[in-house]
Amino acid sequence: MKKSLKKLVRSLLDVAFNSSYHSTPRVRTVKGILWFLAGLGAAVAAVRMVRGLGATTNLTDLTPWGLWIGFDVVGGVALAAGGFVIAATVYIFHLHRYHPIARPAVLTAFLGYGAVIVGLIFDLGRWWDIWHPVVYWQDHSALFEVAWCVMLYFTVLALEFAPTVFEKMPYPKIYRALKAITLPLIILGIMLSTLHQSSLGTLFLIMPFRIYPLWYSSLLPWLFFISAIGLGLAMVILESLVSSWVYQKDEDTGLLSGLAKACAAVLGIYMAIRLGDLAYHGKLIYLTKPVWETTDFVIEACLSVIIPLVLFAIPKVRQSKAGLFIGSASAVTGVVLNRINVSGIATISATKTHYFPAWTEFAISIGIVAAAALVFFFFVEHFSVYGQEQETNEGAAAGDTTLPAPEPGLNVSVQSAGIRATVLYSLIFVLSLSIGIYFMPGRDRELRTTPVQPPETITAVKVSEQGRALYGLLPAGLDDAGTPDVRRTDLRALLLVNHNGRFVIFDHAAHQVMAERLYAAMKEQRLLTDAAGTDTTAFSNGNTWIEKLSTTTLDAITGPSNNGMQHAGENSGSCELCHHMNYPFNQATSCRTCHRDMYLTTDIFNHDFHIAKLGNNQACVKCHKDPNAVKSMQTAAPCTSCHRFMIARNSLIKLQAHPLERPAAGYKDAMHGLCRNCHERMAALYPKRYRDLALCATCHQVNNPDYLKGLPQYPHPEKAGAGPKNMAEHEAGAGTPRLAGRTTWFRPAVGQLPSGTEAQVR
Amino acid sequence: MIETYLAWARGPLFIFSFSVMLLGLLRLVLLTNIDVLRMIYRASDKRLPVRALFAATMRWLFPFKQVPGQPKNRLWYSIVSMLFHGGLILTPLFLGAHILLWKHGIGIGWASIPNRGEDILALFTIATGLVLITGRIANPFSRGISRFQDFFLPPLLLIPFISGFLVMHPALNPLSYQRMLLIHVLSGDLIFMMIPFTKLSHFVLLPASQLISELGWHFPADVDENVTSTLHKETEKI
Repeated sequence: MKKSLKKLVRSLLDVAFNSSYHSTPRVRTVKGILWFLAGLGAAVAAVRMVRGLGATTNLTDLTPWGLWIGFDVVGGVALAAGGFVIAATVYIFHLHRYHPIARPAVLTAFLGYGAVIVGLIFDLGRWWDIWHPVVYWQDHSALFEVAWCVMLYFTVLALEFAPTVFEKMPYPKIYRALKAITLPLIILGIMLSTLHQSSLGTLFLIMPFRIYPLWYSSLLPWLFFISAIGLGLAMVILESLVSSWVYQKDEDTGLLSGLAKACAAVLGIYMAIRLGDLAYHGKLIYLTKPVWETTDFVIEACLSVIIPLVLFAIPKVRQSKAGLFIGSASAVTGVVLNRINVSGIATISATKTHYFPAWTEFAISIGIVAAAALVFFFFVEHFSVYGQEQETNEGAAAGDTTLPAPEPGLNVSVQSAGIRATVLYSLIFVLSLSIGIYFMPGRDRELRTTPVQPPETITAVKVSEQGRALYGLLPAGLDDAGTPDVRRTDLRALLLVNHNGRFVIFDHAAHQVMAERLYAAMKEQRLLTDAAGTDTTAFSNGNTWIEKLSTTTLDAITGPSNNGMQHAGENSGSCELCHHMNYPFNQATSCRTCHRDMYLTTDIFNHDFHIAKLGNNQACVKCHKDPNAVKSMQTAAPCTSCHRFMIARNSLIKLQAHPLERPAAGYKDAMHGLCRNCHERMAALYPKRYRDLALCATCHQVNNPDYLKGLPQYPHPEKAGAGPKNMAEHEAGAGTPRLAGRTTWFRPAVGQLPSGTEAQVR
Repeated sequence: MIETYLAWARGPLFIFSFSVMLLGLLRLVLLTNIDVLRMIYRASDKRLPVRALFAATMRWLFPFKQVPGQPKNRLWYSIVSMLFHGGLILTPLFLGAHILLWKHGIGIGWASIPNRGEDILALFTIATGLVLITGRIANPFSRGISRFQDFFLPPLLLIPFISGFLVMHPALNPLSYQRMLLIHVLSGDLIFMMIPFTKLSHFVLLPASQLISELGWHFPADVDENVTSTLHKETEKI
């Protein structure tokens, strides 16, 4: 056991430390770039695994398949088609002059499928369940078949390529056994490939209404299979050209031009079938439509077929490296574009989504390809992928006796020559990984004082028109007295607007009346307190003021509203029922002073202001009193130790104890927390009178977000400024919208709730 | 303005520099391991004096006694150097405020040294650091074998300690709190980024230092022939 393990380790080290290729500047540059791209991809990959698809992609429920499926999975499978095509050419049709490119073709296919699997793991939301098709058989699913094809063909490819590895290892028995099953494996591989290439097309047969007609066809399985053969040939040409360029070998263009001829023929047949199918179904008319899909189709057709067909048809061009390169690169780009089109781009019209991959998606896609290319180069450098005769090219390492350059400043070389390339690549990899991490969309845990989306309120006027309330936007320069045709106005009706233009009418006067009555009742029942209200229970936990009040008092509260202006009387303390916290030296501070972001929790404490106010560096100890404690929000003195009247005594909102008085909930949450709780309670106590009070539509009456935008006087946030951005601006009154022009009136649809809203009663 | 810089320095820049440090150190460890593996693979004599290696490493780690190559025992130098190294590692690692940041960032916290203790540690580190810098400049032998980074790094290491101490003691701080904090964070970030590319990396590579020197004398089997052929003296007799 120990001996065989030793033998294995020894043989692996033999392979690892003995490369037959010399590292030239060109190889180093190419591999350096690949390592950089792989590093970026690895950084994104790590974040994707930890934080999921939402954090790293632009995918949505409507566009669940994006770049990764289109390029890495569907495109990757097609790119790997060279393996079975060349294997069939050499071993089935016995065209032995193509034998030298059989190994690289199989290796490409193997790595292509590896990339498919890796890409699929990234794209699966629950990637840890990727083994499920092995155990849980769902034989009605097209994806089940695809999964098994990938698994089986990947295994077959691994076995097909294994002799190349084992001929360098001291295991002759395994090598001979692998050699013996080569032919059955190749036949199996061709079968599985045929099945898999076409079944990927089958996958898209189930979405005839999703894919644009120019791409949808009942022949998709055939089209996928035939184009994959052409693509496979083009890919073999491209990869031979690239690797011979990288390693500065002489390339046999005669061999490649033979492949190019076959490639052109196959792609020609593919386009003929495709156009014929479009003509047969009368879909050619779509080519005359002036939509972007037509352009996309034409570009795809030119790249995938027309350019390679024209170039490869001319013998002189076919023999030249440049002609081969342009033709095969065009075919590869075009057919991969076809796969991306079918699996994503051609569905945009039907789904009406605007999906464009995030940079992170590109990073992973390119990173996977770069990593696969690096593995390809590793095999080329450490095994005889391109055959024996090319191996000792370009002054191989065997006779290389040049001494490594000394380290600057050390005067001795600490690194052996063979490890120097590794040193460079690992450095590039580490740096690109860190750069990827730097640019990763971050998760900000810190509370900010500056809002991202501040809420907006617009002062509106309220008039009574035949006993019903009528609200209007207040024009600039007009006030209560300046509106002659308005009988009774109240400037304190507010429109609470969010950034989608949706708004809620908040009738401050009506709520004031209710608050005064509540306050009076609480006073009568001796429920008012003199202490700051942190000791009583929170609003939402059941045991609240409203349950302590007697029903008779409540009946008095809910008496008919006179819609009047009776506040500022003896019950003026009623403000603090809602205005639960006040800015210093202020009463009834507005909600958005503290709840200053529409959705995010923000910090209402201005650290800089307090430092400056309390004496700069001498000020710290005034709040951070304990010298041994870590200076933090939790260990600082509570705000109320200085601002004694900051927190209202009898508020309906009971703040939780220090230090949680500092973060203010988002405006939406704050409004819902206060309004909805009270409305629900009232509706529950008085089901007849306040039947509709707890419905969403009671407040959210204007469901059309364009309503406000349509009004000429509405100050758009970008024009009028979107509310104060900080405390100083708030005090200066900046950002408060001022309206111009005439008043626009609109009636709230009280009692005309949209049908079906009953279901929203909580 | 300074708030924005501070948010950047302790946010994205810190994450970048810390990943450069972690990944860079991981790279160095892996490269060293590969090199060690390669040397063992090539060596004709694969036996390693493990016990002697460990003893040598320990001797260098706690250099109270005379070590080969030194003229005499350097007890005081050793103590000062060890205090400096200890303070360098312990102070930032067990500062309550740092641990609180980790707790906010990754949700993991650990026990801290009380602020009073941290003050003492920081002052010891600064003082011993200054002594070591003076020693390196004053002693002609030390000066002779010093490179640029040997003069540059120790003062750089002291910047976050001095600025951190002043941040913790605002009454002594000549600058504003945030300005000093920015200096503290930026210098810390710079050090993190430099660790894998300078001799600061010795804090992870130390276990391999004696091993590498030992393996350096385990020559490959055909080394003699290679030497003669490199020197073009194949025909000469030894």
